[in-house]
Amino acid sequence: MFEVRRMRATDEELQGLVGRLMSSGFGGLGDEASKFTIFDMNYASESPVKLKVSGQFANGKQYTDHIAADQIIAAFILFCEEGRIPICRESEKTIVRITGGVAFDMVIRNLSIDPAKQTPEQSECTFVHEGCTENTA
Amino acid sequence: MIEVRRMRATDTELKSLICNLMASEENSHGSAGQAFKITDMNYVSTKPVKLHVTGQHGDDRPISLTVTPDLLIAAFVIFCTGQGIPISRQSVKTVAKVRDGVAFDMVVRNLAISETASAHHIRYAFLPAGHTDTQTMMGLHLK
Repeated sequence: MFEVRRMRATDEELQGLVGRLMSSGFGGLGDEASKFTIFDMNYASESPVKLKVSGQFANGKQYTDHIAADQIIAAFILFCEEGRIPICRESEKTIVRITGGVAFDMVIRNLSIDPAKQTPEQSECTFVHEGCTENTA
Repeated sequence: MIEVRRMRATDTELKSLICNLMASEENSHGSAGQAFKITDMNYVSTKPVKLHVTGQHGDDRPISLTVTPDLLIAAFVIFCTGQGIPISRQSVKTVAKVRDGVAFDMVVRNLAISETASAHHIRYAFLPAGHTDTQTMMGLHLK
């Protein structure tokens, strides 16, 4: 059995996700970045998804840079962690451009249905626990 | 934000899921350890998905039953509960026939993205063991 999971975010929602990522201290800016406000966000490329983001931190520092697909995945994972939405650590995570926004896809293969393996200890699928993040695809 | 989640099971895997469902039903009636074996399984209808299953209990009692979409959803939910796979209590859950088996779809709408997002602001409850949610929403198709 396999599982396909897709979270869809509109461009406005993506802006919120990226803003949260930046505010959380992404890129080692955490000490000065209590809040990040995005002024502008464009797609630098659609496949792979790459964003060009410009904005400003709470201390007035301006920031313009590219946000790659891995970082967008990190933004989704951060959102899931804050929302206590469990996500599978071992899933293949990708970002794709869709109409009006992006989709965060997670694919888990080889979920076992063998009744002999019906215990969480033997499960091949481990989930990110509260307080733990996985920021890589 | 919207989350769409699909678990696909082949017909063979579906048989195992139904066996697990039957075993859990037996357990709930205090007869633990009774294995259930499916001898035949056919699709009565594909929309909505309905199966006719014949089989045997561990003590050789034959059984013949029709598995409705709600029961199929329960089978998937029991599988997830057994595997420790969290599923959203509030998701709209449906089953649909796919080429080589059945797909279990879960849709969660209106996941909030707030700048001050915290665990307290996002109402996203997950299903504790032993609970099922058999709401259905027809007409869902994943890309």
